[in-house]
Amino acid sequence: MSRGVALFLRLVALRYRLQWAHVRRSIARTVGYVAFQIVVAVIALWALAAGISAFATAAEYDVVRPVVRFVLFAVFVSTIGGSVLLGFGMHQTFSDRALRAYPISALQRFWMRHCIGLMEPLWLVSIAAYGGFALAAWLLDVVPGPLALASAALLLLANYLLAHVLVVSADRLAATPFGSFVLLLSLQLVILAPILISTPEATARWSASWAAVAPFTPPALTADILTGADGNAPPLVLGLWCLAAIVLLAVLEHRAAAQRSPRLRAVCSTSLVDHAAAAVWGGSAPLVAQAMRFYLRNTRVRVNMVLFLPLLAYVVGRFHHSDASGSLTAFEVAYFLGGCLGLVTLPLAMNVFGFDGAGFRRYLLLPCSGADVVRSFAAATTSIGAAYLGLAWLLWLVAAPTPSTPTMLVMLLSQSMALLLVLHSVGIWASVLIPYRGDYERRWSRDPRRGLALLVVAVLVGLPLIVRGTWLDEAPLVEYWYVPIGALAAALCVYSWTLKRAPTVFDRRRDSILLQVEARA
Amino acid sequence: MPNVIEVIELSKRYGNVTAIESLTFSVRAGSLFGFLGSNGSGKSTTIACLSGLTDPTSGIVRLFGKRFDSSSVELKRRIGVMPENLGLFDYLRAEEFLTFHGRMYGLGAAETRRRVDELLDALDLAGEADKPLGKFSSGMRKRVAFAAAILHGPELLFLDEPFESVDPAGVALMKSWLRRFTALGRTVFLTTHVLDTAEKLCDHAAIIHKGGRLIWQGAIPPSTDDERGPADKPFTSLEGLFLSLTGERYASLDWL
Repeated sequence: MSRGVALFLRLVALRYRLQWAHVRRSIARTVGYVAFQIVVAVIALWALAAGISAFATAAEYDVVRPVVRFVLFAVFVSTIGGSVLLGFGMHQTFSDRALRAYPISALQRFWMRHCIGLMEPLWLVSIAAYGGFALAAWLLDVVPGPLALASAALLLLANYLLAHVLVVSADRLAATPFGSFVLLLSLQLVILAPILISTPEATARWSASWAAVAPFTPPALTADILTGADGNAPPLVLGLWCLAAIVLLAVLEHRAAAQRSPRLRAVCSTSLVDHAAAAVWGGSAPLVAQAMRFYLRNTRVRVNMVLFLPLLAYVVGRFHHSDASGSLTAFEVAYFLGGCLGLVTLPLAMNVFGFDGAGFRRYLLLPCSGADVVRSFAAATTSIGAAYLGLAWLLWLVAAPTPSTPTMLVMLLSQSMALLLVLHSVGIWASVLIPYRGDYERRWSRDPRRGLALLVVAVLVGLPLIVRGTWLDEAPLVEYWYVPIGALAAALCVYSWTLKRAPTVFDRRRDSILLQVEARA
Repeated sequence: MPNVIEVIELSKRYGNVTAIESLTFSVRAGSLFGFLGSNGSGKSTTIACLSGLTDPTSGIVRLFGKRFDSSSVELKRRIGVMPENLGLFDYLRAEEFLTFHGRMYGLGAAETRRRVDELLDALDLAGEADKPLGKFSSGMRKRVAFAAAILHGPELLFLDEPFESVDPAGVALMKSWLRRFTALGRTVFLTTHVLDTAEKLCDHAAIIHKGGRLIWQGAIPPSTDDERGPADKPFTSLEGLFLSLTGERYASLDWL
């Protein structure tokens, strides 16, 4: 066995030893870890079985190629989406910097890191899904076994590499002066694409373009190989995809990320922030101003703020023109507004102490109580959200002249404010109960809090929309004026209760929060 | 002189790990007290308990004669702390960080402004006005943390390894300020690994050993037989005393 492979196996063993070292200190963590591994194994087995049975069933009905293409494409895209947007499967146990301490070459470091990266649960499930199709193609004698397995391996490689290329590109772009802006704009364009190409002509044009390109994508090429397509073109093109992705990833990783300093002149120590905090928060003003300064200097918050208003204007305009009555769409827009407003600060509000990292220790040393610290951060995030809510509502009124009645206006304001308060209550509890060491400026795509925030917003926004679609479809919404007002009252209760209880939990858990945010846990 | 710090049977455990165990000692007002020990002996944990960063598992801490814990806000106003990892907000400039600190400790806006300007000038940080603290070198970060600790004129100062990574000019300045600080009747409690510095700077010291056990406390130079350490190894220097008490040995490695 070569020295490189021996070292690689030792690193793999170390990966699991590190995971075990992390969980063995408490029974709950150990049980959670074991349960998670079992769940991953079950899902992987299920994916394997699903792949085999899908292939066999499709073959029986003679629709094997379109079905395999569709399923492989769905797995491919969802894996990339899950890894790039939510950060699943992007964790690398060993960074290139860490491996530099050992006597191994740059090339060895590259393949070792990424081979270990493939052991993340998401990729294990993908291996099982692709493997299921390859096994079925082999067992049903459609293609020789080695060819089937090799094509599945190439597809997995292309999938993993493309996800990493996107993540590293996003990180590199985020480190440039306007990178965050460009990134978020691109993301919003992708999300809004269905609205932008909503006319039948545009849809037909896009469909034709896509139909021309789709056969050359890795999942379609793999599907062609697995279903016995003639010719050498599919394996060759699939191999070229992998090669291009390897070269691109190596080049991207080789280029050092730009070091960007926050633009500090935007806020000075005796600025509007301090005056605003002093006017509203009295004795806690310095602490609230400090928390506000933290948010206002954060690239994510600033970019979200800049991009949200034009996005809102556009969406409101579209909704308004698509529904003459305006009353029903107002309900949806209010939820959209609340959700987006939550997202402006929520990824940070969910991890206020973790993003301050080493600075968190300072809060515990200052002559203030734990309650002051928690409430000051809550005050800062909610104030920024509420101020932005007012601004957004002004824009809403200009862009869409509904609601036309004061009742509807009160309803919509109550609704979005209630959502904002609930989201921020969730943020406070997440900060106190599951703190995490964040990164102030970077890590665009690998922050687990980002995924959690998206999930919370999706649940909180999605549930009422389902309720609305199920029960209120035909009813005039104004008749339910008491629902959003009641929701606001309930949200205020939840928020007040959170501000009362969370500091107690914060005080009780201060040692463990400190260890977590200073990455010593 | 009255005792400013009184520690009685102080213990701190993290799960099954005992960081400090049954520590009992006191520090008189106006002294420059060195708290010494090998790596991992519990020095920083002791400072964390004495400064309110964390609460002890058991035992009592009294500062200025009053019971002290992490929620003693009024007592915290009277102390200054330079913690182990400095606790700086990386996205702030030095001036902003110090201003925030001064305001949190109750200084008026004008007074904070004056002191911050003087400190930044004295510590040679005035030229770094536009740089965030995250971009400072470790020595500069240490100076900022030191400035924050003394900004509000505390009566008791806790410094965790204050001279590490600071250049000689900065160390000399900090030492002269600490001497003046104690000459005014205020107290300094510092940890350091540099025993030579502790011997020259401190008038009293304590040594703790692995597991957070106190093994020596006394004046420097020792004034009583007890303070002089083991009879077979009379006190010649703090380093000699430290090595004889902690059992540290220079290992001879045949392959080195």
